Amino acid sequence: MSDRDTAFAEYFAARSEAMRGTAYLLCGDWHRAEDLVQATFTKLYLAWRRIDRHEALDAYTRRTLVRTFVSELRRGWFRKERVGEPVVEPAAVAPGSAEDRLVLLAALARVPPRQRAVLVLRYWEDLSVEDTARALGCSEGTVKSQAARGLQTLRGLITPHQGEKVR
Amino acid sequence: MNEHELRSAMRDAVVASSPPPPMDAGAALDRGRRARRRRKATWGASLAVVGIAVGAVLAPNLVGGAGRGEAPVASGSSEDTRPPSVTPAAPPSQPVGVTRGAPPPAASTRPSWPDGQTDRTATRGPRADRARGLLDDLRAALPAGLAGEDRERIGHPDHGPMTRHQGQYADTVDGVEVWEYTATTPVVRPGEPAVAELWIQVETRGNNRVGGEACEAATRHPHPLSGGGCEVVEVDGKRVGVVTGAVADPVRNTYDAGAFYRHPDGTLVMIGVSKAFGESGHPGMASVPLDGRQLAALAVDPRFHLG
Repeated sequence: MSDRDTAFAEYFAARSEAMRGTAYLLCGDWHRAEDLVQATFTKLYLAWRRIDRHEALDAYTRRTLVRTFVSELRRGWFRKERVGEPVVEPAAVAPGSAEDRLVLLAALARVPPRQRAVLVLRYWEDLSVEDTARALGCSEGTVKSQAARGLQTLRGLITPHQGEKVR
Repeated sequence: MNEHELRSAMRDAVVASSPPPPMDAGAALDRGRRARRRRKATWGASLAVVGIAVGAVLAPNLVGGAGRGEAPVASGSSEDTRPPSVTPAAPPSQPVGVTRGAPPPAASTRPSWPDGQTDRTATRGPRADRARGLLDDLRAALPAGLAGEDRERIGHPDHGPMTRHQGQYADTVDGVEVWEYTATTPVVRPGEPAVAELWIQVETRGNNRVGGEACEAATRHPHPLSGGGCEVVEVDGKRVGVVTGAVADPVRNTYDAGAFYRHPDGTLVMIGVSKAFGESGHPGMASVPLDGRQLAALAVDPRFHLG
């Protein structure tokens, strides 16, 4: 195996799980998350030798992942199974129960994709406003406004009953 | 919900959702290598074409303008034309608990993609053409008084085009490649502002995602219909499950009504229709534009019997 392939395989083994978690929060489906990660790392492999700042690999990979996600939404790429999953009625969910995560995922799925990407990058990846803007190819002001709107949308989607716990 | 609580909730959601086993680094490397070979092949072919074209222009001059000499043939160079490479540094710090190295290919939980695709979707070639044809045929099959026409969303910039078509590989079942072809189109009554939504999905022979036929298939899987009642409508002796009175939800991609027909060879045709095109900004129609018999007729249309 060449040095390039060895380094790529090591990087994949080290980072694919974290990227898959990000992808899962973006799309709400593990299989699709893996598809996104595969597509992202294939692009990364092709660009590997052109990347001269390997300390910035994570940022590059994350940016590719998010843009692949947004781009595939525009193309209409989605597995219908995901949207066919049972929907949890938030009002019926007791706070602190295991169903909380389903409520969050269902609510996230209803947040418009760009706002969702901002929320995931800011609060899951812990990126700064500046890095989030770079990943999404937009201004810092847009990131701030999208994050505020995204949080507002989430609050609106989670019932007051839930809100007592998480507000 | 504040930012801290959202952060915690996201962590809980990922941890509690039973992530599948780690992905296979060896398979990722294989996909990367295949993609690189395809790229090189494409570049080689492009260079050859350019070389032949340039040669055709220059060769007559090189041989005295007689045009009898052979044009120089450019070969697809395998030389790496990329910028000077930098030896990859060690990868960034790794999260605790991550296993390094490539497990054997048998450990992969993912299917590989046919025809050199990098994901499920066929973006070119006969499968992509078939999806495009499905959209055209769906529009052509509409009854008189209705038309399938593209529209621009008003607002909702993140929701993409209203007209869509897609051909995607689903699975290989008993050696048979199963494909899903999907098309969505706005439906209008010419001259009127209201816009309805019409969707079709064809799952080719060998599919096993939705079992049964007619109403059995219609009620077995929640998508694309939620609620409503199903009745069997016969069209030329073919039994079609027709669901009406369902609840349309644009977020979950469910429709007001739909039809399910399974061909004798197993091919499944699903139709969904809503009186309004969700998240489009356009007004909806007062009622669903296709009745049960019209939906059933669409479902058995031989144009949608795809392979």
